[in-house]
Amino acid sequence: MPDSSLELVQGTVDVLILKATSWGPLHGFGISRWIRERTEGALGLQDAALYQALHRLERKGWLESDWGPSENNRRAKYYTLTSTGRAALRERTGNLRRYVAAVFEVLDARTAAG
Amino acid sequence: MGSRFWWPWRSRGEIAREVDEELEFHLAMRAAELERAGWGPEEARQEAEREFGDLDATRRVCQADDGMGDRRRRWRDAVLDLRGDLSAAWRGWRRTPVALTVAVGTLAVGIGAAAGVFSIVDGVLFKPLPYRQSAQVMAVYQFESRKGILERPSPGNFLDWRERLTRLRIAAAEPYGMTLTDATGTNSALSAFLVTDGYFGVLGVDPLVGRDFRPDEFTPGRHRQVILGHATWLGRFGGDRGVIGRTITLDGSPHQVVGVLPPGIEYPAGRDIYLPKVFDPEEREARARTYFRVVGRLARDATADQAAAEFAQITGALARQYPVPNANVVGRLVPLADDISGRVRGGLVLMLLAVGLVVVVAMVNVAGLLMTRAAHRRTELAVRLALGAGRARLTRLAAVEGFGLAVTASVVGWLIARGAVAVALWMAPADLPRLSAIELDLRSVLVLAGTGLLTAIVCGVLPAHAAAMIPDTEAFRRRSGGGRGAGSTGRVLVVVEVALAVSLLVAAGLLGRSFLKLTDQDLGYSTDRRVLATVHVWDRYRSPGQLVGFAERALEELAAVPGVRRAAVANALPLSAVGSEMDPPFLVEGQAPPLPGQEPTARVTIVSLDYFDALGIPLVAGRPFDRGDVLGNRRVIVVGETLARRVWPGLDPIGRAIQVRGRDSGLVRLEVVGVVGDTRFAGHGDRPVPEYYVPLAQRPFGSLTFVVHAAGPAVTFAAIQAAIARVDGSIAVSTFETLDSLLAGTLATRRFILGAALGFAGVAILLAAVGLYGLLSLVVSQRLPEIGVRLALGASRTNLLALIAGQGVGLAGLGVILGIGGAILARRWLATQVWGIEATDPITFVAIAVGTLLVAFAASAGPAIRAGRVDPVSTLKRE
Repeated sequence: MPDSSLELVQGTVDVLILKATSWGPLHGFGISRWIRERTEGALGLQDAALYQALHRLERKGWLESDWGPSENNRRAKYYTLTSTGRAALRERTGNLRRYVAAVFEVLDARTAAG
Repeated sequence: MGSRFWWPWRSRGEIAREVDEELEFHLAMRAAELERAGWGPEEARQEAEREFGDLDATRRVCQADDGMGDRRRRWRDAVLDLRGDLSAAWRGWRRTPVALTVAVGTLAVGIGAAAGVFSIVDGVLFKPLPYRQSAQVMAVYQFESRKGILERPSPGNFLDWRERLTRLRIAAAEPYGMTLTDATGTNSALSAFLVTDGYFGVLGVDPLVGRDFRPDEFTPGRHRQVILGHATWLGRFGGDRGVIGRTITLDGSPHQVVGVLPPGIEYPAGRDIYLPKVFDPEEREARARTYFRVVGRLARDATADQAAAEFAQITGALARQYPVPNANVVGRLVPLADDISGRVRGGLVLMLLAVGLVVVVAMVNVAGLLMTRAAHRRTELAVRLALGAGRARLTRLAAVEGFGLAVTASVVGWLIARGAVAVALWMAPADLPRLSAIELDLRSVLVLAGTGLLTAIVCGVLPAHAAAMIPDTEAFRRRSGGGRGAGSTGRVLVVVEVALAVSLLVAAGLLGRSFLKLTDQDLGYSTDRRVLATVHVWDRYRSPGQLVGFAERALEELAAVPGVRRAAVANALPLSAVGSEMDPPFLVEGQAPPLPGQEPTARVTIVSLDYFDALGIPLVAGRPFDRGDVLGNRRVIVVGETLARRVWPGLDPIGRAIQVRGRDSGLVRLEVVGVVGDTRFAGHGDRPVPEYYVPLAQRPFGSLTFVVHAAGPAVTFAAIQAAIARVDGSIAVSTFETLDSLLAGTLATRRFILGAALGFAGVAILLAAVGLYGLLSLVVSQRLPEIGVRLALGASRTNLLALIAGQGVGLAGLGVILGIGGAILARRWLATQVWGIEATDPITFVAIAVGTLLVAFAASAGPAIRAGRVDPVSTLKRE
């Protein structure tokens, strides 16, 4: 496994993918680029993991895929968020927020004491 | 979606290619990005792959996920589609509830009847008997080649055979009647079998409780053991296992119960108890009296053919050794199952065939109905097609309709089958063998499911095919005139239906005619209000004088019972003892004796005074027996007309005599004093045979059947029992019967099968009529515009009526010709399979042809009248 980037919290990739596709259909490369640009590479998300997650989410019915022309007119596989996927995104986002908030609560308290 | 109907999912290869293409796209895009950032092409590509991570693992994981996902989606789609199709089919049917009811009802009747009849035929004919290796068990007969009949073996012959046979183990049973006295002193008669050593082993039956007889129990003085039949054990001893070892009183002496048989032991049918057979010396030599029931089991390494060959060889040797009475006797083996059920096989096979034809007619009918609907809906379907519904989708919809129909019909059919079997068991003739083996079991369910599946295929695939045949442009064509395809298939179907129904009607009609012909025969005696009661008094009265004395006193008592017009007694009465057990050879006085074994034989009946009066047998010449015909006086006989004609053709038999061998081998002279009419002893269909009667007073006998001719219905069994009890309280009547019910019994199986055949034929013709009606309705509605034009051009309504009805009757006519042709072809086979079907009977054929055409006309009348009511203006406007 490469470099010093952050280890991803379990399930975070899923939320990122769902979020990326929430504005409209995107192909895998587009999702990868979107996450990379947003996080400036801080997450160090591997494309291998990304694609595996994409296919898993499609199987779960959170994403649908269809082939269409890309911006440079090649055939590309586009992922669209389904309604169940959207619901899952909302739920996961909420969970993640509460989780992170709880973690920081603890971290902040210790800082104050120290 | 439609194009995916046949193979809607991706192959492994396709999935792999898609995953590769997706990943390749990613790598190419990333490399291009890097190149734009100043990387060299080679390095950019390498960097993209490095950044990506484990490419191979990703490929594998993605392919696996896609495969699983596809499968799941496939299922979900299939379920959704099916649900859609089912609800579409339901909506479609709701619009035509009559058609739905007719279709489901038709199929359900067909399927239910098929399963029901199968379960009956299966139980009677096909299920193995409840014996060990029951295929190895044979019924053993002697064939009397001169009389041309199978006889029951005589005790002497049985003993000779048993000694010599090596490939067949045989055992015998002798029917017997016994009186059981219970603890309260009440007597009741039981039917018994006296069985020889190893009888149950030969049959292949182990006692349910207790044991078989031991070899030493077949010797005189040690034979006081009894084995109970299952029904007797349940009925009289409450199914108590403790009955083993108990002592019961039979014919006044104590017997020890040693065993109980399992249920379902049907050969020979329905015996209450079984006892060891002890031969007396005279019986060991008895070769002319044929009353033993003999069964055999093939030796371990022997085939039926080998056993039969050995048996024939042995009987050949015995024929030379004892030319009287064995000269014409050949041993014959009949597989036990055939012996029990062979008599009804033809009729049951006919029933199975009939119900099969009904099922075919029902299927054809419903397929026709569905196609008619499809044709009616051509426009609707064509519009759907034009609106983008896949052709496959329409085909599947039609198939789902058919399948749904078949499944519903199968469920209803199951209920019908249950009802049918219950009714059949209730109505079944008592002499139908193996009733207890009839049930709706797994085998019947398989038949039902198979029939249902076949129906589903016929009803699903044919209309689906028709739906698929609609051309794309149909919607934009004229609405009429395009239906030729469905119409002509429909015509073929209707002709087939009518032909099948007619051939079934012909078979049923021929059966019916033969039945009427048969029952028209004069029996030679009256059965009306004749009550029979049989007693066995061998053990009670041993001397001739005692026997005759008992019979005379009993007759006096019976004659005194109010309502009794006449009472008589005989050793065997017509119908009650089917198959003669006494027909010894005789010589004719004054004629040269024939070669040994060539002597004529005749049935002998031992009768009391008044016997001919009591049975209504007409006296043709001479006198009946009188009080002077007793032991010590000249021995006399009364002969039947056939015997008189054969023995003394053209001469007056009165005063002439025949000679028979007496017990001491000397010749006894029997003088003819009278001639009476012939009798059909076994009922309708039996041929009169030479017979003579001897007076009971000169030939005392211990198994007596009293016959009472009652003036009205008031003479009860109880009154007869009481009259006999007044003579001797220890004697129980073993069977009560009436000649009428015995006669009905001989016809019961025929009547049952005839009824079933008529019923099925009726159903078939009804279904064919429904099919014809449906077809003509379609034709009329398709040709409305043409009819309108014809009317407008001045065709009379009568012409139209004739046109439409003529078409229906014409189709039916074609079916009638084919059906009768088929029946004529099958007749020879039918005649061999079913008793009573005789030569081609023109009256039956004509009646059926005319009847069918009338039914066809009636079925055509509705649509024809509708055509006549067409309003020319409105139909032309619609065009």
